[in-house]
Amino acid sequence: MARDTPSPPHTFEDALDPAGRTLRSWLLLAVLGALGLLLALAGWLVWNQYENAKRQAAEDLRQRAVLAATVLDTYFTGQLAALSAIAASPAVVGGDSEAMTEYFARFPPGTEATFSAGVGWIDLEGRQRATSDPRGPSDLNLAERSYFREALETKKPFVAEAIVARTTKRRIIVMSVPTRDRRGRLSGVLAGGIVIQPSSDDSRASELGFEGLEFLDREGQQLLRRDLAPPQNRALAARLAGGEGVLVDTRGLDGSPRRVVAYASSRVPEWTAVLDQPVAVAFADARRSLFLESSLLGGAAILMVALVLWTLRRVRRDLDAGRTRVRRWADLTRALNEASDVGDLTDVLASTLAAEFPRTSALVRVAGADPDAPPTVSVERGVRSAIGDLDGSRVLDAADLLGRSPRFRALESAREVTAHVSPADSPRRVRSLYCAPLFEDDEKTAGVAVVLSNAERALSADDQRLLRAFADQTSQGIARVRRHQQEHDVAVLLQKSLLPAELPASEGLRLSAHYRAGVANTNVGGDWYDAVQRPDALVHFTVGDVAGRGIEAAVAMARLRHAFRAHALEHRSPGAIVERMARQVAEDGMATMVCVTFDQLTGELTYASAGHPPPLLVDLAERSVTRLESAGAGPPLGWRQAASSEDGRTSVRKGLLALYTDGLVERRSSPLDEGIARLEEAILDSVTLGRRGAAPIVDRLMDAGHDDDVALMLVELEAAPKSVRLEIDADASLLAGLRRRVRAWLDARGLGESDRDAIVLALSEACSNAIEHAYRERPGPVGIALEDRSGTIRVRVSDNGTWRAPDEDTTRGRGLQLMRGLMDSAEVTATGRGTDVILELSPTG
Amino acid sequence: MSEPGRALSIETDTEEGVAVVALVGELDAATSAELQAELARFAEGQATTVLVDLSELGFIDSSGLNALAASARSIEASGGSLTLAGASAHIQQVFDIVHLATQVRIEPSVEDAVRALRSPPSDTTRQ
Repeated sequence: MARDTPSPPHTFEDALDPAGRTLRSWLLLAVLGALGLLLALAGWLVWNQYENAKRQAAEDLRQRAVLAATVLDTYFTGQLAALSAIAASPAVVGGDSEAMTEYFARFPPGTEATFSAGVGWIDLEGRQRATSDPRGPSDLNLAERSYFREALETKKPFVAEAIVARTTKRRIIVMSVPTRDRRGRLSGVLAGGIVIQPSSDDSRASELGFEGLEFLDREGQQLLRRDLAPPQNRALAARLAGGEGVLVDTRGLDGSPRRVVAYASSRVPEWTAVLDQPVAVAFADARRSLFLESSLLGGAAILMVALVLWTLRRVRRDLDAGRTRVRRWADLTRALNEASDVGDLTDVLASTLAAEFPRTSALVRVAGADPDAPPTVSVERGVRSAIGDLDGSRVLDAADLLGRSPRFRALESAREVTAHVSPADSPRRVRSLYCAPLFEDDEKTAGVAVVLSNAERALSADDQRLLRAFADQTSQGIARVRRHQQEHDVAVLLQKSLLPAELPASEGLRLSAHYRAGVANTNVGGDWYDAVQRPDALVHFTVGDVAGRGIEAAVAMARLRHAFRAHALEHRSPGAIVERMARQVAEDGMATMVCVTFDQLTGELTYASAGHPPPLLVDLAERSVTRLESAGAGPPLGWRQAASSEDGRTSVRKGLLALYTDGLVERRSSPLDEGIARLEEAILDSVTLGRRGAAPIVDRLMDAGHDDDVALMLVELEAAPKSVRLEIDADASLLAGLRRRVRAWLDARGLGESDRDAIVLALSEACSNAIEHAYRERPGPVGIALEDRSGTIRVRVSDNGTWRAPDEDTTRGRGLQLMRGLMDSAEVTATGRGTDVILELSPTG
Repeated sequence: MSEPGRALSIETDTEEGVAVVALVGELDAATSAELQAELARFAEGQATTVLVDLSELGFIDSSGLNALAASARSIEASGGSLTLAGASAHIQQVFDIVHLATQVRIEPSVEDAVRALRSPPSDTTRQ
């Protein structure tokens, strides 16, 4: 039987690990932070690289500008060398126009020529003397031309600004060198011109990276424009002249924004090569790579964020599930602690399991406390469970069988389920079944919690641990409730043994009392009630409440109740009783009580209270309720101040008296007055419905689980009933009071004044006789029985004394004479034990 | 239940030679001795004319009757007289039952009885 050893207790912490979850969420946060940092770094690197690429592109552009300027230098150096070579030719040195003309014919103007605009020689007067132009020398005086002047003044070669030919509209650049004769004297200027070809292939230039190429001559003219117009952005042109560099994100030559301008000057023609490109073109490569890289980075970032969000959601779901679990656990624990019986426990566990495992149905079965008692079963179906109808007896039998084993079982397939639970016992479609034993102590199983599902392996290992933890928690609850129940039963038994087993009953008096012990506390309370019927047809009713609980309160209660019984026989006034009871209560004790005294003959009610809620008097004829509180109310017993002995007074013909303890009307949430009003309502309702007894009213007013004792005594009172018996002591001084009360009884029975007085006198005579004569030697009681036999009043006065013949005493003879004279009949019967006098009178019409 | 302070109170007022003894309350075994003691004063010394006013008496029983009859006898023995007056119908009925009139002089009205007793003695017993 080793495998049947009880499973070790499972703590809830096993099933749930909140600390681990917190750690995990911190880790996640750290990972998120690191990822963010990495992303930022990567972004920064990409940006940096972009900036570098841009710088590189700008530098490239500058170098291209320098290259263009160098090409220009080389070209013009070559051209000027060629011109100098011509100038050094014998024809030019000789100064012979014709020879020169002939010589120059070798250099005819044309597109393929070195000097596409031709060459010519100009003498010192500025007149052209020879030219390669077949039309012959021009007539114009060229002395003011810059190429002529500069060449003569500086005696160095010179490249002039571009000009537009007036006739052909071609752009021509003229360069010049001074000429010397054979003796080395300046003889004139040799000029050669080149025609700027219109740019034929811009796309090629663009491919080579020379898009946006422009040359500015020393006058700032744009040589690559047909009209040689200076750039619109003159400020830029001025800034570029003679320098070298690159400007990023500036305005271009034509004033358009966002350009990259690279420039370099050439020494020989003193021109500036400019590359003026839009930023988009200049940095196209950099941008392309930036775009690529940031796309890649962005993609990675999106992926990462998605991953993180997904993880976060998952973690949150886990945390929520954990929190729900914790809450459910707390709810279960609280509910288990509040449960007052096993039924509450099974209900709580079943509903908790069904809530925790919504795809399953839960069945909780606890055997009765003793073998004969029926088991307690609770069934709850999870909201998504496919297993219903668990109430069938077969399932219960299966649960009973399973519940005898102290072992946790997990049957996780249909095959396993049928192997352990016979198919007939098992509800259809059960494919997994978990069975956690419930214990009422360390060894004895009390029952079982079963979780069923139509899915295989419905509970994870964690879920199973949780189920076992729930079951163990409930086991503690069962132990507590069983213990509590026993203690409570004992306490109630003790309490009830201290309360009167029987209450007096006589005609016109019907008592019903109900005591209910508080549920939550097993201690005996101090509530008591009692009623004492005195021989003189007075009835004292009392209800009281000793402060505190437990044995001390029970003892105090018992003492007070016994004291009450003694004082009740001794005293007729409730105030006197309360006053004497006050002396009974110990210095440190405290009790409240109320005493109401009913005179059965007269219907008079007197009452006194010591700190107790007011008794209620329902007038059954009027259907009205009076609170007996205005008079006769004093402080609780045990106060230093003496209890009041002042009696409150009222009277009733036919009524219902209710005495109760504060447990019945006190609610934490509402004032005492409302509680009393509720009680009044409940009593009136029960009167209307013709219900009798105190218990239903207590049931109606008390919620389940109340923790205070409650005592309620209801008395149906009827004054002056048809027949009354009473006894008085053999004391003549009591006769006046007796007569007054009998008079009231007779009045209530509807007798006329003279019949009434006659009966009262006859009764008084009979009593006087008994007092004076029967008890001459020793005192004893005088018994009086009053009876209304359909209008005929019959009075019987009996004593236990010795009879003396009337003739021995004349005065007594007069008494007998009176009785006989007043009554229809007056019979005196003497026996060995005493004397009976029977008087009868039928009222005179 | 609770007893009145005293069941019987006796007020004696002597005027113009007539002692008027007014009884208020109930006359029974407990109180008749008291009355008898009170009336015994008039049986001592000189002869006294005593009128017992019963108009405020609510109850009388045989011991009360006995007390009145005995007192009347002793007062008359000392030369005085005792007259009862003002009895209610019920008390009068009681007197009738025990034939008290044969032993004690009974007048219905207190005023008339007082007037008659103060006038010089005559044979007038009834009006």
